Formats: sequence, C-alpha cells, structure tokens
Amino acid sequence: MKKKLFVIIPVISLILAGLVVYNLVLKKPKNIGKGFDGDSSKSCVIDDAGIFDDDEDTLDKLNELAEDYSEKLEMNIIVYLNGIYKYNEKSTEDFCADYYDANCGKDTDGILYLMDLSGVSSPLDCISTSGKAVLLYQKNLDAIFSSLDNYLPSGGEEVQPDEAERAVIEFFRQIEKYEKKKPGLFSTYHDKVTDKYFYYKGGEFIVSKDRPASANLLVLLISAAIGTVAAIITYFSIKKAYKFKNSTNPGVYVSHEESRLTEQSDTFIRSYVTKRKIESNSSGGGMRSGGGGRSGGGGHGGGCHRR
Amino acid sequence: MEAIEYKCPNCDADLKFDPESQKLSCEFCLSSFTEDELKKINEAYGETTPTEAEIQTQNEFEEHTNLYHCASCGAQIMCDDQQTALFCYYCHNPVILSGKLTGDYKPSKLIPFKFTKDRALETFRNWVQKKTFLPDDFKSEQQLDKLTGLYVPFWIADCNVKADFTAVGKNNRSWTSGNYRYTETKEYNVVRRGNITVNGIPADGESKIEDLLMESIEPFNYDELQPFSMTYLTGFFADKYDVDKAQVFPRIKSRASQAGKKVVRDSIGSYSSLAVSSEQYNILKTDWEYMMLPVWFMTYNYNNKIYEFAINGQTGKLAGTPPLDKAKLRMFCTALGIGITAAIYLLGGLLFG
Repeated sequence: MKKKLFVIIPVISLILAGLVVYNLVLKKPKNIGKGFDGDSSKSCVIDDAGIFDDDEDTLDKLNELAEDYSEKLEMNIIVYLNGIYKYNEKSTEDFCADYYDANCGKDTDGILYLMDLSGVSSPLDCISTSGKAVLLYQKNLDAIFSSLDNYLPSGGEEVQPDEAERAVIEFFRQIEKYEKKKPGLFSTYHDKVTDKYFYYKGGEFIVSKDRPASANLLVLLISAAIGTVAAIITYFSIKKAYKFKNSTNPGVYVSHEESRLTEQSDTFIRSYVTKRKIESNSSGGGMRSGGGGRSGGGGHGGGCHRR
Repeated sequence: MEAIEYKCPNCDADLKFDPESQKLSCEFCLSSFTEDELKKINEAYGETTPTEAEIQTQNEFEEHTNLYHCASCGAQIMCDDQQTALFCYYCHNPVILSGKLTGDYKPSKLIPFKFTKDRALETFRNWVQKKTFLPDDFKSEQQLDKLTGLYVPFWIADCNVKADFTAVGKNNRSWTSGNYRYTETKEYNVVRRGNITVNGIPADGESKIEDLLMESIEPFNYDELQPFSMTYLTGFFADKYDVDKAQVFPRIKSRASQAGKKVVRDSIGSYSSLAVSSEQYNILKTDWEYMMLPVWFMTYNYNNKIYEFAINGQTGKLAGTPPLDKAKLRMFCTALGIGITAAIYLLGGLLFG
C-alpha cells in the first residue's frame, strides 16, 4: 500500500498540475464586457447647470470634442455639468454610474465626468468608469482630479464659463494621456460590489466574473511556497529514514544478579518557595464597518473628489 | 636478573613503568597499577594452563585451515581445507590462497549458524520491500547472491564496573494564589555507588566491518556457545581478526560504562531536574574470550560508497544503511511539491474565486 502511494501521489500531482495549467493558460474566461460599439454620438457634454446657456457655440465645440475623443479612444465619454448639489458622495457615485448605464449601456467602455457647478462651499466632482476605462483610469483618478483643480476655483467661488470650458478640455487631454499608458500585464481591477474582474488577456480586454490568472498570482505564490516547504520536509524526512539505525544498548549485558549498588540514598537538603506576579493581558479593539454597495448595474470604477 | 613482563588485567596489553606516577601504566586503556595491586589481581584471577584437549584442537586448526588473501581490499578470509574460497565476501574480487594460520587465531568458542541462508534472504527481501527509494539493482538476484555466511571474530568481555554517582535532584510543585504563581522546590542529594557486572560485551576484531553494524545485530545468545571445532566452518567463511583486544578495549570500556550508567540512572526516581556533580564508571577487571559469531554479510557498492548489511546468523536481526537513490527521491518530492501547490491553488480558487 505504502509503495502504491509513491506511484499514486505523482500521478495525482500531474493531474492537479494539468488543471492549474489549464486554469492559468488555456481556459477562456467568459467575457461579459460589451466594449465600444463605435457610436460616438453617445458622447456629449450635458450642461445641467446651464453655464453655457449664453454661449451655445462653446457647448457645441465641447460636444464635438467629446465625439472626437470618443472615436480616438474608442469609448463613450460623457461630461455632466451638475448645477444643483443634492447628492452625498455615495449617491453621487451611484447617480453617475446609473446615468452612464442608462445612456451608454452596462459594461460598455466609457467614462463619465461630473463637474459640480452648484456653488456649494465644498463642491463634489466625480468620475465614473465602465469597461476598459476602469482599468485605464482607476489608478490615475487622483492625478486627473488634481490636474482639473488647476482650472477650477476652490469651494464657494462661482465657476466661470471659460474656467469650465478649460476644465472640460483638460479632462479630455487627461483621459487621452492615460489611455496611451496601457496597464501592465498583471493589472487587474476587481469591483467587489458586482464581483467583476477587469483585465487584459492576450491583448483582449475582459470583463468577467472569472478571476484572472494574475489575480491568483498571490494564491499561486503562497501555494508554491507551501508546496516547496512540504517537498523539502518530505525529502529530508525520507533521507533521514535511510540513515543507520541506532546500535544495541549495552544495558542488555548487565548481570543484575551480580550487580549491586552498595550506596543508594536520596537525602533531603532543603526546600524554598519562589513567587512570580502573574501578568494580566488586557486587550482592546474596535470594530470597523464597511459601506454598502450598488447592485443590479454594470461594473463600475471611479471615485469622487472635493475641491 | 630476570625481566618480568606485566600484562594489563583489563586489556591484556603490555604495561610500562610510568616514572611520573611511579606506577605501571597501560597506554591503551589508561589504567595504572602498583606492583602489589597487580599481584593481588593475578592471585584473585589466577592464570590457567591450557588442557590437552585444547592443544589438540589448536593443532587441528593449524593443519586444516587455509588462509586466503584479497589483493583488492586486503581482507583475510579463512575456511577449512575442504572448500575453496574464490571471491572476497567484502569486495567480491577474486582471492588467492596465502597459506596456513597459526594456532593463535583459533577461537576458543563459536556460536554455530542457526538462521539459514533462505531465511536470511527472506528477511532481507522483506526489509527491502519496505523501502521505495532504493537503486533498482540493489534488489536484483545477482546482488542477493552476494550474501555470505561469515564467522566474524569477536572479543567478548566481562567487566566489573565501579560506579560513583552524585547529583542534586530537584522536585518542583506550583500553585496560584491571588495574582501570584508560587513554586516550591525541594532539593535532594542523590548518591549511587556500587559494583556493576557486565557480561559478554562483544567487539568485533575485524577492521573492515563497521563496528556500529556489528553492534546493531546484537545481542547473541551465549547459551548456544560451542567449543570451537573445524566442522562448524564447513560451508561458511571465517574472518581472521586484525584488531586485537587492546585495540578494542576503548570500545568495550565505553559500552561497559554506558551499561553501568543505565543501571545507575534506572535506579533514580523521577526528579524535575537532576544536576550531576560527579559521575564515574571505572573498569576494575576485564575477562576476555575470543570467539566467532555467525553473521550473514553483504556489501553493495553504490556511487563509490560501500554499503554493508549484516544479519545475525543466530537470531536473524538485520542491520544496515539502505542506499538512497536520490534522483528517484528528488523526482518524487518535486511531484509532491507540484501536487500540493496545485491542490492548494485550486482549493484557493474554489474558496476565494
């Protein structure tokens, strides 16, 4: 039986290793990403704040620019100029995601930028990404917001049309800039709310509920470490079993009839007591709670930023 | 003036006068005696003269024993004149007849082979069956054919050991009261003194065979000892000793001390700790006997290393270092490592995917 194990174990190992290789390399994930349908007319600047009411030409120009960038970057681009502050951070994010989904479709490639022009003391801008835009811009949101801050006044001050115009144009430039910086080979984004993974595999952009190989890299490394340690321990324990066993204890040659201990005493010398204070270990801790998620929509990335 | 030659009562080596201690010292076992002590010991354990029957056996031994020499490894094999040794039991190279033996090499006693070759082979096969990472040819019939019945020369020693042991034993008792942990320690003076008799410690007189290997197939049952007779050699080989009793005495001394230590330590109750202040085991007297003990012996040459295997020809007890096929083991461990890695990875994927 023991001998059979030494055959069975390598066979099972090979089968399991085959499964891992299949899972890592050969298995094609189910791509639920919709990509970009090539219709740039969905890309636009929504002037809900009415900042360009007196300057239709500028608004038209920005709309044209949105369409141009949409064609160039192959994604939907929506800029929403928000006039009334009525959302908190969470609901602003939800509003952006829902607005994008309603106009461009779930899991399509695209980005929505909400510029807060409500005039509140702490304006809340927001970017919502979908499809490949999640992977392209998620890590660069702070840099994009920071760049836009150079064109927009800080909280409480009224935004002028030319400032808004320059900020929108800067937004287009920023997303073009980061689109050129393709994400790394192992770059992955996981939307915990919808449990979707965004990543590239073989040059194709994937939105899937299947974990990418790169996301499993840490698991693979930990598994490999455990496997290596187990193999090393096995190697040395088997090697030890092939060492020479101990020789016979010479105690077997003692003649107990002829042997005699002439003096055999255990004399009490002294006793003493020591004491030690018991250290009490008290531990404190707190609880941290997380926020809820948005369900039922497409997978979105993004974030908000207060100016 | 007649020169008197004194022999060491422990190891039979020549004693020399040590001007520093003004005593007769043994350079092998480091014992030292005054002339009076030696006389008393010799009187107590007086010399015996060989009987007529013993002289006859000695003559028979000299006349009917052929000595063969292995030019390759230097082994010296003896067998009776009715058979011819062709190959060395150790290195399996051809041996050549080199002459007769003197009666000094005749053992006084011998334990005849009781465990047959078939049983020895069965024992060996069963042992091999439990090992997976052995070289393939190690289990071959050609290799098993090398199993040789060999009478190994042994020096058997009976020793009187004087034990002197003192230590401080401590017993601890702990309890908790309030915020404090109390420990009460009781100390005892532990003394053990006495004489321990150790009978029949064997030490092989063959330098080629590993001492530990021979110690591992012990013990032999000395109740089955027979006076030496050439008839027992028929069908077996015998080894000529090349290590005399003076040279094996350090091993005997060490093992006798170990035996004495076991008696002393077994007599001590359970203490939480034992701080030994002095522990001495001195050999007072050693009686020697030269005999031959039956061993089924085999060697295996693997990666330029000789692996020795021995089976007690009386009890069937086997000892040896199994050769390890490291390439096989490495392949197995690699496969195991990959398997564990894959299993954990897949399990992790199922749990967290």
